[in-house]
Amino acid sequence: MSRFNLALRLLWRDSRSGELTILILALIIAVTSSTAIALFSDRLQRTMVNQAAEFLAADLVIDCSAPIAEDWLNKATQFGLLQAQTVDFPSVLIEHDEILLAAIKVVSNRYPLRGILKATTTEDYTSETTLHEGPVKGSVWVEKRILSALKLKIGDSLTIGEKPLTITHILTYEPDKKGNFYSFSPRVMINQTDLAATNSIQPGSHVHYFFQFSGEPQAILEFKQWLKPQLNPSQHLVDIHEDRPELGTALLRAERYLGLSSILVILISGVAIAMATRRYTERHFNATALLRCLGCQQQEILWLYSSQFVVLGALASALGCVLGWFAQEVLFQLLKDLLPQQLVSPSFGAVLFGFTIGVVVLLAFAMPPLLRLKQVSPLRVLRRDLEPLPASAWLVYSLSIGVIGLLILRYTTDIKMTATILGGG
Amino acid sequence: MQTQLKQTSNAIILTEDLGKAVVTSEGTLHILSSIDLIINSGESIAIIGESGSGKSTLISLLAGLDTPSSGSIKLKGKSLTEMNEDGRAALRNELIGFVFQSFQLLQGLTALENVMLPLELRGDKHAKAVATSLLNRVGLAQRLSHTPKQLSGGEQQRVALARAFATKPAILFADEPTGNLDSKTGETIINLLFELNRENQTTLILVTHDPILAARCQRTIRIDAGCIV
Ligand SMILES: Nc1ncnc2c1ncn2[C@@H]1O[C@H](COP(=O)(O)OP(=O)(O)OP(=O)(O)O)[C@@H](O)[C@H]1O
Ligand SMILES: [Mg+2]
Repeated sequence: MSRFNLALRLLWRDSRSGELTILILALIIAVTSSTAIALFSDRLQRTMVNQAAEFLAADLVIDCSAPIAEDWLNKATQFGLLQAQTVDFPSVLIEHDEILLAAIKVVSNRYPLRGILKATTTEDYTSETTLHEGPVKGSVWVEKRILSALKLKIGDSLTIGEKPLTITHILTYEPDKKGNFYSFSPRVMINQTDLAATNSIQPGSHVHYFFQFSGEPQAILEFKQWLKPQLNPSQHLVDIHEDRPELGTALLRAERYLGLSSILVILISGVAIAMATRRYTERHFNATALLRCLGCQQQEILWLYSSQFVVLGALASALGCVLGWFAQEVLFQLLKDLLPQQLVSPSFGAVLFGFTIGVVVLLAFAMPPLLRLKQVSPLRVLRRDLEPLPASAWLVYSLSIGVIGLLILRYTTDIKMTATILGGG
Repeated sequence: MQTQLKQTSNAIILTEDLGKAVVTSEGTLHILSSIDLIINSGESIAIIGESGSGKSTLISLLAGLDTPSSGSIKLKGKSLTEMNEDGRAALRNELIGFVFQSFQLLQGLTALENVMLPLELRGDKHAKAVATSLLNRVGLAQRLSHTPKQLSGGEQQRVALARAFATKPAILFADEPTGNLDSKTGETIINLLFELNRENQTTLILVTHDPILAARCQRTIRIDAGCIV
């Protein structure tokens, strides 16, 4: 214990004398930037994914013009996915001698898998509520336009095809409303169990089936990979990436760009850390020789200095995490007009990533020069010109290239590209 | 034969055919050769010789700071030449004290902490009390919390003396301890060194250029071109 105290005391004296200021600053900058970027892209990505899923009312949708094979649905169940279905078709409604083309949406149980429905039971909207299920059997939800156009009110009967249903809700919001032709026609929503009785679906009808799935990202991915080769040209797979590819690639690009620029910051900090440590090391040759002369063993020397650096690294990294958190908040504030209003909260994982970066960068760049201290000969107390061997170039390069390579790999998730960048650099 | 044996059994330092050679660009340089030494416990020895004759090299070998190219060294009966670096480090902490020409105090530590250092390295619980009383003994009771920068050369060497005696070493090596001091300050330091040496019954090996100083030791060893003459 007393040796740890000794290390801390030496560290305290060194930091007071300003010797480690550059090193601490470089470390704080590296951790701040990587924490800020990790938090920023993590929050943005999770927000976008959540929003996109809501936009689909599911994580994955098969869009087709005829029902799909039963065993596909069984397979989805095997993957542990939740399922729902909707069927869209246009239909002409006639009530009180008024005619209106409406967009019918038939929904199953569990719809919507993601996102919510909003509806009201009074025409003045005062009782608008959030709902997680669509209409029950025998009831119909309509957009308000329908009531005025067909001279109806809540509680009246509305016939869809051949089936009269009772109007129970005015629909005010549905998550997966598509910006296509139908959106000009007012919406009518009914339960799947009433579909057959309407007798609306005839050969040649313009019908869209949406088979919706939700579940763990990994399960969704596996199901998607299983499904993809089996689709025919009229069956479309829709997910966040397929449905809005521009969003997916923009996100990916932004993350790569930010990530790669943070690598540059880390690299510069790493060089500053290596240089500061080298200077620190050289200024400690004499003190080390004396400690060795007084009976310190080589391992103890290494431990003495590396424990100082670990404490220092942990403190500087923790501070960097806090600063990174603030930087990320400021970034979101500055960009708030461009970004979604509702952001998911920052994740602890991203903060931990920043902290890890700090410790790893410090070790990778400070270790080779620090290791020289272990080699200082006690004879230096009598012969000042005696210097330990320079840090092994092999160790210096492999550690720094290793760390940078891992970071590039993390941001590009592309081994080939990583190899190219490292090879070119 | 009888006297020889008696001497050997009391020897704290014993060398046999000790040699040190280094390979340089101009060939092998023999810094020391055929050094046979018997130094008895409690003796005070002066090592004198021209600059470059090998005095520092000799004490670096005797103190286990460096390894000889040939021959053997025994300290208190333990063969230094058979130990590895960590073994020698442990032995230095246990047996040996040093006083250097350039004081060699740690700049970041106070006088008290500098004296506590070798005690802390061996895990001594009473490091602070021992160090305080030694600094008292060398006349620095009022300067415990001062760092080396705040002390004069003579004061720094007193701190170094206190540090050297803190572990009650069996052998004290002093390499030109007054080399960086004016003659008056040097004299007080030497007086203090001999007093402490007597009080602690330490074996003293003193490297010096000063014949008067050498005369204060019980025995003088002269080195010339790496050999005892
Ligand atoms: N590792 C080494 N490589 C080359 N030369 C060395 C080495 N070690 C010592 N020497 C040389 O050996 C000689 C003796 O050195 P040493 O320091 O022992 O002399 P010294 O008697 O202590 O001299 P001074 O009185 O100047 O301190 C010197 O010429 C020195 O340059
Ligand atoms: Mg010398």
